[in-house]
Amino acid sequence: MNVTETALYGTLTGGTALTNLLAAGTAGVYGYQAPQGSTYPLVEFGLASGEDVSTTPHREDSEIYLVKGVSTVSMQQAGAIEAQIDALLHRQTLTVTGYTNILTKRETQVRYVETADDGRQYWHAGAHYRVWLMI
Amino acid sequence: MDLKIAASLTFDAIGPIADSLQLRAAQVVGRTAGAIEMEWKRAMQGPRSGRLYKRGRITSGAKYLAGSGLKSYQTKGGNTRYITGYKVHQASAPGEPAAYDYGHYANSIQVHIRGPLSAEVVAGADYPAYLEYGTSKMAARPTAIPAAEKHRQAFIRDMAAITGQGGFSAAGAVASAWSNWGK
Repeated sequence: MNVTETALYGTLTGGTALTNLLAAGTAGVYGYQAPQGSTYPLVEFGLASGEDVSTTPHREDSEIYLVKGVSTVSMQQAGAIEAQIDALLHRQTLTVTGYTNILTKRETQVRYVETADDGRQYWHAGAHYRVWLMI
Repeated sequence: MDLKIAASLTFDAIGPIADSLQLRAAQVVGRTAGAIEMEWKRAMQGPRSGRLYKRGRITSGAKYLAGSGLKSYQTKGGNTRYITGYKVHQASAPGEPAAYDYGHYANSIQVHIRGPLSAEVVAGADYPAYLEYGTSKMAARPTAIPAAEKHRQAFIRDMAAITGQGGFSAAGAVASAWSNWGK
């Protein structure tokens, strides 16, 4: 994990209201993809885009992370997880080692249903969060 | 007699200025949408490091291949074809942009002009969102978001140059094309 991912992981696993909704508690937060056999519901997050947007001698990075809850029960359950993710991230300050977090904010909502080959359904609910960092 | 002297000031160019502003802003919207479309498609080209999939046989009818040990089959016309190899598609690895394969995804990416100052860049195929956001079996392959992000700063800068303001947000306009998928 890079420093932003470490910060996100720490923030998400530190949110009791969020982890109480996950089958595996604090172990139910995964970077990029949960391993096969994981228990649902869970949280997945990963980098969607990262751009150097420096306009001054300071280095500025604008990164977008997709953070979502995944449920095998309902969109309502995934949505409840999404709400707790939002409470932890939107307009909150991330502690990112070596950087100053200028802004963290929710941008676009992402919701979809996936039907796996075995017929099992997975409800995904989350959002893209822009994480603006400066050194 | 009431004698008056006055300086009269009238500015009557608001209409033409507004028209010019709208035209220039529309050009930026259209240009940016086109640039995102190109970037999105370009990102799907190039080598990948994911799994390999067979994509059909490479065959030859050359007579000198007889007795070479290569597998062969008869065509409907009765000719012998020798299998000299297989086409291979290398898929994207987690985190890489989606890989160009048959072209359904890339060919479905289009700019839709929604209004004088509004455009969407949309992938019309039904599976790109699964690649973009991931599934229970597959990690995400972000392709559209990085393409839009590449042009976000230029879009804001161009609009700011037109309007003379540097502080407004254009993120919603740039990123709205795929944000409503799957709700």
